[in-house]
Amino acid sequence: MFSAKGDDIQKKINDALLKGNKEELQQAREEADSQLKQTNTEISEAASKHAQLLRDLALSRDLLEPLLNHSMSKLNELREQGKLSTATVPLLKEFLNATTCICGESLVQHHPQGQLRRENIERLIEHLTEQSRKPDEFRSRLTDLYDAAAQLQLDQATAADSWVNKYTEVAKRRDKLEHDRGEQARRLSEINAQIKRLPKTDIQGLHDTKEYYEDQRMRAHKDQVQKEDKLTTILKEKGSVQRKYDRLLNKKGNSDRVLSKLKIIRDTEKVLEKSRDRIKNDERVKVSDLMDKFFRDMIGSDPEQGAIIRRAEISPEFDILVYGPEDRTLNPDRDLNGASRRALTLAFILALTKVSGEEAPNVIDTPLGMMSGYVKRAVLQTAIGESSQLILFLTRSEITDCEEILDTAAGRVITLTNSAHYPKMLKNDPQVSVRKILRCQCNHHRECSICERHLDPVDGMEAAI
Amino acid sequence: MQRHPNPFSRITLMRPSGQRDFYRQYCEPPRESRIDRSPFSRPVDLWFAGLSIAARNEFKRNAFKSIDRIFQRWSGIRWSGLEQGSIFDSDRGRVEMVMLVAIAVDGVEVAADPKRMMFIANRLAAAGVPRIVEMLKDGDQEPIWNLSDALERLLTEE
Repeated sequence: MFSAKGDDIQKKINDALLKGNKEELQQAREEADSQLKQTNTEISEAASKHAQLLRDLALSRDLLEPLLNHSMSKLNELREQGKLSTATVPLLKEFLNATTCICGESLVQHHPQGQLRRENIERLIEHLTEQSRKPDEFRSRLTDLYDAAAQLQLDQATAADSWVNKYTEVAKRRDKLEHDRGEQARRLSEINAQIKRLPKTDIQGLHDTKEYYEDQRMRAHKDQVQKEDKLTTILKEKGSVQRKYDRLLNKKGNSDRVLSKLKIIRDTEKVLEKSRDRIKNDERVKVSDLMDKFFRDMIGSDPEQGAIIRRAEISPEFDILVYGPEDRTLNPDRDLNGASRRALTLAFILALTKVSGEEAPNVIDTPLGMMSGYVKRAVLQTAIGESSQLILFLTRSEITDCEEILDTAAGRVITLTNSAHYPKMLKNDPQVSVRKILRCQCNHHRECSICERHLDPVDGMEAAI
Repeated sequence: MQRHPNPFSRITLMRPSGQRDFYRQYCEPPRESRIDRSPFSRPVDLWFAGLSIAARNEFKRNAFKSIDRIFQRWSGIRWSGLEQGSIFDSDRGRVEMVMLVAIAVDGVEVAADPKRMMFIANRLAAAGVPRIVEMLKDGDQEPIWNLSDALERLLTEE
């Protein structure tokens, strides 16, 4: 962002600079103006110097050179004659005696100039005589004049000392300064025109702004680098944390699964507990009561008639208990005969099936063994009456004494014969190469070639209901 | 060297009253804007320039043999005081110049008569100043340049 702004400012600066840098032009204008003022000052000084040339002693010296040389030659003559050191009045009187002055001019009386000079000399003599106290003033003045004029260096002035030379230098100087002033004025005018044409762009301000943005860009860049470093560190930490997170998530998944299983187990446990409780508290009692009823029906027990076995029950611990008189517990293994034990077992099975409410066949193998008489018939009738479908595997001896019950209740009768009983028990060869169970439709009233047996001893299995 | 006192210190430099405007026009205290037009900062400078140019011309013409003509020309006119001669106290070179010019005109004996010397100088200056003014005006440039160029020509033509 700052880089783009900086580029934009630089473009503005470049655009402005294409038209000229106002600050630089202003500086150039100040310099040109300063130079112009300086030149004007120098021009004024040169003009003053030029004016001074007009009162320079060199001008008078050069203008009057022949004249001054002429006068100086007169003074030189006096000096050579030693007259500059003589008393002035005698010297002047000596002039009057001559026709020619020491300066070469005429002192002839009839000559107008000569007469005039003579009169001047006479006035001077009279004046000097009157001022006899200062007789040497004139001579002294001439001597001073001679000495001072010598300092004018009339005959020693060089070309460099000449007024013309001085003027040439001043004129050159002034011409040059005028030329410079013209150039500087033109330059100043050009700069002013350039400045006037410039758009009102604050280049220095733009430079300042650009510098500000550049500074901001550097700060932002530094900040970016720091943040990128920090981001890199954070990304590394994130990777590490992510791996830890994944591991923990995995663990959590496992835990969840374990927890789910645990929940299922606990639910199942609860169900089972409820079932157990129900079985223990409700179903057990129902089964117990039915079992007691069936059992006593099967054995023909009547407590009022003094039966030994008074009742049977299923304890909360699911033990089958048999009680005798005075609720004394009987040991089924020791105190019950085989028929009673078998009847108890069948009673329990029938009760359990009844209470469960399930309609399923009861398949019982040789249930009437070791039974006889009343108990055998009662067990058979109870089993038939309390079963929705009853399948019994009965031997011939079991069927004995129960034929009329089977005739009444049996739906279908099948006889199963073990081929291995031939020839000991079976009369006819079953005609099989390997041992097998053979089936036929015979019952306790009829035999066939398959199931026909020897009368004694009888030990084959005959089919029942 | 100890010099003799300025002999003109008590004598007044004079100019013809008719030349007042010359002095007014071309003699002004130095000011930047008027130096070129009024190049003489003091009246005595114009006076001395006039003296120099006239003395040169008269000497060249006939070595002052017709100096009386100049004296007569400026006799009977009205004169005005210009400066006191003491103005030369600080410019002793001009004192010697005036004396030497006077000696050239009148001979060495005039050196004993400062008034006479100043008399001669005033007349020569009166004769020269109009010539200087003529030089100032003669040309297309500013007066200082006109005069300077004229003086240059004068000094180099021979």
